[in-house]
Amino acid sequence: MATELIRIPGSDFQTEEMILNLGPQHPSTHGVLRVVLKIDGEVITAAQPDVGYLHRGTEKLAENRTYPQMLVISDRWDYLSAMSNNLIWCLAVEKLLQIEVPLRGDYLRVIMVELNRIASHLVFFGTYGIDIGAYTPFLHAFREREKILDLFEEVSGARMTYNYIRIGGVMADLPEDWIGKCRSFLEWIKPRFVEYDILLTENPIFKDRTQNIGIISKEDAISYAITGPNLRGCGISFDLRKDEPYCHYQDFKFDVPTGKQGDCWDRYWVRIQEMKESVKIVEQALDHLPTGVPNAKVPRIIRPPVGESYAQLEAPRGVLGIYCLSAGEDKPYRVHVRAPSFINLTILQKILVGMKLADVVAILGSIDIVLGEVDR
Amino acid sequence: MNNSEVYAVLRTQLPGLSEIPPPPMPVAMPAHEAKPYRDPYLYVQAVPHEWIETAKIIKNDPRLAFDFLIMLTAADYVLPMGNVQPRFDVIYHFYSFQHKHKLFVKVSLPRDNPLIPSVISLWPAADWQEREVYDMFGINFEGHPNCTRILMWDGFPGWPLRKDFVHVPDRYDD
Repeated sequence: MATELIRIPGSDFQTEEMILNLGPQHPSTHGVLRVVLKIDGEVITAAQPDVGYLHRGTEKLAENRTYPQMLVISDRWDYLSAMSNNLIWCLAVEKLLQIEVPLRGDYLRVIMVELNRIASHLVFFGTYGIDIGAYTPFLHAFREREKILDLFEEVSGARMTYNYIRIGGVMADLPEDWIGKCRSFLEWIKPRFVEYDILLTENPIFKDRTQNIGIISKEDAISYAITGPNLRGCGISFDLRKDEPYCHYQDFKFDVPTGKQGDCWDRYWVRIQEMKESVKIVEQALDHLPTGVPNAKVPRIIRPPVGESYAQLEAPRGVLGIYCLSAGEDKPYRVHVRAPSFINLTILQKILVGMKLADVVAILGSIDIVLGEVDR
Repeated sequence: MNNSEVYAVLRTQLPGLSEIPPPPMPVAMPAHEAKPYRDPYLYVQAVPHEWIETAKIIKNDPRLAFDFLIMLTAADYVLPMGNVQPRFDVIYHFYSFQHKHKLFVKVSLPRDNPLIPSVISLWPAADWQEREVYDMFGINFEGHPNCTRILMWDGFPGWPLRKDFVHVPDRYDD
């Protein structure tokens, strides 16, 4: 009896590589990011991110504006954590001016920046859930973020672009009873983290979608200059708040959470833990809030002497730095913004290769970029 | 290692390298005026034609081991600022995870036809940052696989962050 030849339908089809265009108008790219993907079946063989759709020429604008005017524009880089942007601009200019901010001013800055970090990570938590396909976490996250924005509104009058941290200190001292409201918020948010773990962190579907996906090795993370939770997700404990403290961060006790293998879930987990650490920092700052004036004496017209300064801090997305050259005028000679999102995004073209098409959104979401900062 | 030790290690291997002194104090300055400021890092000036050898030593020498490129940018000195000549400075800022020390390197280039070797093979983080510098200053990076505009669109006229860039009014200007 002759062997029967089994024919699988479609086995003689010719397959070829395909170019797929993701974005720039796509809800899961978190803004106007375009990624050109070359795919072989379902597997990605090459990826080329295309940025610049939101470019506003910050560095050019800085050369035509006085130092305090530039503060307003700094809000627009990473619009989810505008306090960090305000702070880094002020730190860079204060270095040039060589002025020391009073202790109360520093503590107020720490409180605001850490609250902003919680708000920023909450947006990540919510939108990452949506990226993966879970809508409920988004509603939870924005309910909590709303309360933080209410606190910021009372302090600064704005909900997104605060312009609160000023050169030499802060815009104004805390309003009456703000500390009480902040404390009750912190007490309220602590049990919420347990909810997040039930909703997403330990969710088996979520874990299947994110574990062992988009792994960044330690060596790659360093050579690509990845910073922030993405770096700590790889297991490298590098946090400027610990390693190069600014604004009296050395006064506070907190841990630096690190991941194990650097996959999407580790990066996600590090951010959730960081929110808990930020709550600790804000509590300590409120407990030991010094009395006195929050502002240093700053000249009415800011005209720093000739010089250059590089200031950096740990923003929610990584190391945010300002390199500022002063020629002794009332406007900076040259300003460079070291934007963490921009540099973290560089590695996307490497880690996407070999991944499945369905994982692109999970990997992109886990890097947590803000296009306002990528394009500046 | 502190700044002078790092400089000594660099200088013994690279005689062309020089340290950039801090900005000089102006003579007869009023006491109430602030003094020129610079961060307390080591600033060195590298020679363009031996920049790639310099970069290899910076990265691979075990005593230096600058494995982390924090920042890469450039500055344009077309206007005479003090006694500096018209030039471009490409500015690199390095950090070493192993030794926890930092270094600023500046490479000066002529303003006409600026060209510098790319360091993308040593620090892949330079990829987009070099493209940004090319985009904004028109400095060409030799050996970069994709040295094209990144933030501005292809076909944009001129180099926006050069000091002699002239903005042509368009329909967005009032």
